[in-house]
Amino acid sequence: MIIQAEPWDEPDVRYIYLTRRSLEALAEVLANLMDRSGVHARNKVLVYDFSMSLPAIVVSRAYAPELRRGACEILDCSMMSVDGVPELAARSAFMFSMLQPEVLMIRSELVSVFRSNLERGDIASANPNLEIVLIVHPDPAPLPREVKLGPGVFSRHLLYKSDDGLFLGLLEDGSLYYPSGYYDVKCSSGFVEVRPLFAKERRSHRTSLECGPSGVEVVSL
Amino acid sequence: MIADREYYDEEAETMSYKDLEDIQFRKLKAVIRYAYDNSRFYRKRWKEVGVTPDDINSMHDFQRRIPPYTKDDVRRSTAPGDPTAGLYSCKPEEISIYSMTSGTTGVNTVLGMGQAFADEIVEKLFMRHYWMTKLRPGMKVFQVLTGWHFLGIMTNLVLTKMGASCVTPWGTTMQKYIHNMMRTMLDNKPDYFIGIPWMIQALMEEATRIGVEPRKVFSSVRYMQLSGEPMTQGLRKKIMDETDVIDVFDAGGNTDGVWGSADCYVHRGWHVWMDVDLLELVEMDSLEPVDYGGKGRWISTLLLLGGPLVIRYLGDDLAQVERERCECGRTHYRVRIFDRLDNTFRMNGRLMTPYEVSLVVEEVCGYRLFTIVNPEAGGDKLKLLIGREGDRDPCAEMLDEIDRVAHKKLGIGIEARLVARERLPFAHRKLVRILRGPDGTLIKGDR
Repeated sequence: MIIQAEPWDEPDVRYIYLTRRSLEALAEVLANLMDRSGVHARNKVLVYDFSMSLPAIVVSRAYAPELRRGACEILDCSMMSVDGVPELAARSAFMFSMLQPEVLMIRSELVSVFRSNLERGDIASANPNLEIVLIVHPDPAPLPREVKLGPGVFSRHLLYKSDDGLFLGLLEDGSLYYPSGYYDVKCSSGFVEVRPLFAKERRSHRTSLECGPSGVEVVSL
Repeated sequence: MIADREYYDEEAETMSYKDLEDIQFRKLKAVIRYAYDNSRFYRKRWKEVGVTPDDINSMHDFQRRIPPYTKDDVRRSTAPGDPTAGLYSCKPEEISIYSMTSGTTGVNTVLGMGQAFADEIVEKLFMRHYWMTKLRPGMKVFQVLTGWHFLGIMTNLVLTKMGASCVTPWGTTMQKYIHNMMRTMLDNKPDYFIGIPWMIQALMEEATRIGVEPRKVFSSVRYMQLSGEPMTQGLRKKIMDETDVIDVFDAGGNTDGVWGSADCYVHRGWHVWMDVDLLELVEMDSLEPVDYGGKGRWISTLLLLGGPLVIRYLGDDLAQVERERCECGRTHYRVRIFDRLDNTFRMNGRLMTPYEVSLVVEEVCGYRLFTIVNPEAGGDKLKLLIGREGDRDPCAEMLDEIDRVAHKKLGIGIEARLVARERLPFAHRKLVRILRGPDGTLIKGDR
């Protein structure tokens, strides 16, 4: 499968070449991270991201041609998605209120417009079932200082993705968590470097995440 | 699978009508029984008219006694926590995939299904459909991934099962992502293209804008499957002439009614599989049955269990459903959708849609974008705005001929004007095919 990577340096166009093994491994990585976040069987997951975004595509076999089992099939969840463009925030908010998912996966830059389309701008009251919010943060965009989700008892997690490294991890409390066995992750020259072990042809990729004393701590799960 | 054979499942696709009718009625009885025993939505409606599954012993009973329902009925029955309005035929905990309709009418409705249903409908509907439209194992397929939409999800599952590979651009099917689509086409050279008709013109214009020969965008593509907009023979010919592909297939259907398919190489309507869907036609107003071959509103019933529960869903389109063996050998329905009911109008007592008008315009000028202005305003001529092509569009000299052909074919005249294409009205990324009200007088001159 060939996916055009999220464009950052236009007109530079990059593609992600995914073998079936890479897709399967990414789905397992996502399932692992969702599990750590508290997602469990029978949860409903609403995805508000582009259908070809790395974490979104491996949510389910229904979203990725060539994938036999996505993260939701591994965890036994159900899922619905809405295209990750701000123009569809009203649709996304409506579906959030109607489906009442336990889990919301949303791109960081869409949180504000999503909330403004909810009644009273309040995530928790629009959906009292909500337990977990996974905020997708694409590398190399600058880390958001704060993503305003509003009040609620749900837990929040930053789901970090790097297209060039085929990398998914969780950023929490100054730590970057990643599932061991899938990546070689190290701190090099002050930045996190990742190499997917499931894609032998890939070399290490330096992310924009700072590490060491002034940055995140790398923690394998 | 042998790549050059015509059918995915020859026995099923060429089955006799007697066998198909037997299968339909057997499955119908099971679906009705399930709905009555498990669905509040149907049981309540059927109790109101005093009908039980035991009363349905023939197709005639079914059509006369089971009341149809509409999208508004579904909307009224949705509730927080259940966006499907309870219209599913599995246990709630078995629903693993939620998908949406395209939302053309303003609100998306939601379908819920289990994994087993997804596999069954892929095998019985979508594998036949894609095989018929020449998708084959090993092909590289361009599509903009749409995980939210039922057809997008089904296409993904087909590609996996078929053993085809996928190439996809970043973005979604909006004009602002057209550059990504074009680069992905040029860089990856797919064999097969899945998209919407407007994307073809937009891709070629984008290529021209950056100095690339437009035909290069499609130089590797052998087959196209397009859906989402009515396809006339003129539009197909235009696309084939401009892209040099071997064939262009028209796909469509209705997600609320959970039916759909594509045309075969004969291109005389979508083959809708009769062992999966039961389609009826009814009069526009009285809802009295219309014989196959006539025109009317369609009513659909899904004959599979485990996913959406659809029993006599009344659609909002003017359609024709034929039931006779096609030249390709298939026996299943051939369906044409002329347009949405909102886009129908009456002139001289005759019910018409932009589809019939497009056939007139195509005969004289070839395929053109056009908008009909205030068709109910009176007068003996239909007013038309046609998008001009190029600086010296020969169609400008043929407007009287359009009028003459319209008289001959439709029994009415056409008063057409050419306008710059960008001055045609668009809404929600789609051309407004009928412009009604005072706006209809706003586009002036420019002949």
